[in-house]
Amino acid sequence: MARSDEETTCAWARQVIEAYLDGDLTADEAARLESHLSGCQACAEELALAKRLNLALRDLPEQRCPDRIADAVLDRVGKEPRAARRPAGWYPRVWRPAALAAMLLLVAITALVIKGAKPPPPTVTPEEIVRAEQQVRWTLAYVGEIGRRSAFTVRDDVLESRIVHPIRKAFSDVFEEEPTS
Amino acid sequence: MPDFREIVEQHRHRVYTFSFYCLGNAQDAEDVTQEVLVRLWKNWHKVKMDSIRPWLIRVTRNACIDAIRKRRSYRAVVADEGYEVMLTSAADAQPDPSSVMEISDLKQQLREAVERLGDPYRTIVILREIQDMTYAEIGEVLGVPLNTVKVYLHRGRRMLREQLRERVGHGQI
Repeated sequence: MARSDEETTCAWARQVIEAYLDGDLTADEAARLESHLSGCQACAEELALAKRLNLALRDLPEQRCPDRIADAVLDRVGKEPRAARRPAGWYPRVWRPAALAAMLLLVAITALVIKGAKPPPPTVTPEEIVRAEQQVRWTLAYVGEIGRRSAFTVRDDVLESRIVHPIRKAFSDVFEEEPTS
Repeated sequence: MPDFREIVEQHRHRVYTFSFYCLGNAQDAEDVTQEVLVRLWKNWHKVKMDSIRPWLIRVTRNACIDAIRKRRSYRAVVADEGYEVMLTSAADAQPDPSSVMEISDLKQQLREAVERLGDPYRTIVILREIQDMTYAEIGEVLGVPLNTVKVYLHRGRRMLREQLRERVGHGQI
């Protein structure tokens, strides 16, 4: 192996030794590292050093907090008003009306937004509908009267397509959302 | 539901141990432990019972970082006020590397090396290797993914190795 390749492999090995000790390398990586360690004394020593350090680290003792520290804490907090543990979702009583008002306001705003999204249909009273129908009838009667006076007749199919239908459509546009054809 | 006294009893050694290895001396660890437990009392109504342990570790870690900052700024202030000579004398009084190499107490050196690690390496090494927490628990405390915890742990241990190799030498550990 060329010197630069060897240095690169040594650098890589030293990077991954900890992961190797924790079993976090893939099988291929672990095999590659073991193969390198078998031929590289310096990296093998590095692995041994890492193992010894990890053992020593885990052997560092849990420290005992002196009793006087706990006593001092309990003494200090005993002089302060007790902060009672409150159940989840607990709120001070004074906030409840404010919370209720906020909720009602939210409901009102939501309702307005929903209502505003689709404009309401025009409100038409039954009297207005009757009046409009009468106007249509008078118009048709007027057209018929003109025909008689002018001494010519209008065929029913022409009357339907040219007069009745446009008027009905105009009527629907005004008073209904979707015109009936 | 356990009361405050029981919680102090359950967790005080863990808080103290973390502070001790983070700050490197008993006096500072005692101060931080006391401060953290009083802070727990003040937040008693906010902290959920099942998250007391991660809460305590987070607050302890922050308190230790604050203590280290104060220590550094104190040194800076002292130096600014013309006490460089005293500091130099104190530094001279430290054992030189050659005498350090003669110290056989690996644990002491390891402890010092852990203290010198920067955060989050120090926190993760203490929580995992000394306090035996799982990767998942550490990730929850620090708010980082499990893989990040592993990467930091491996890097932290490598830093320790490099420190101790320089100070002690291969054959003496």
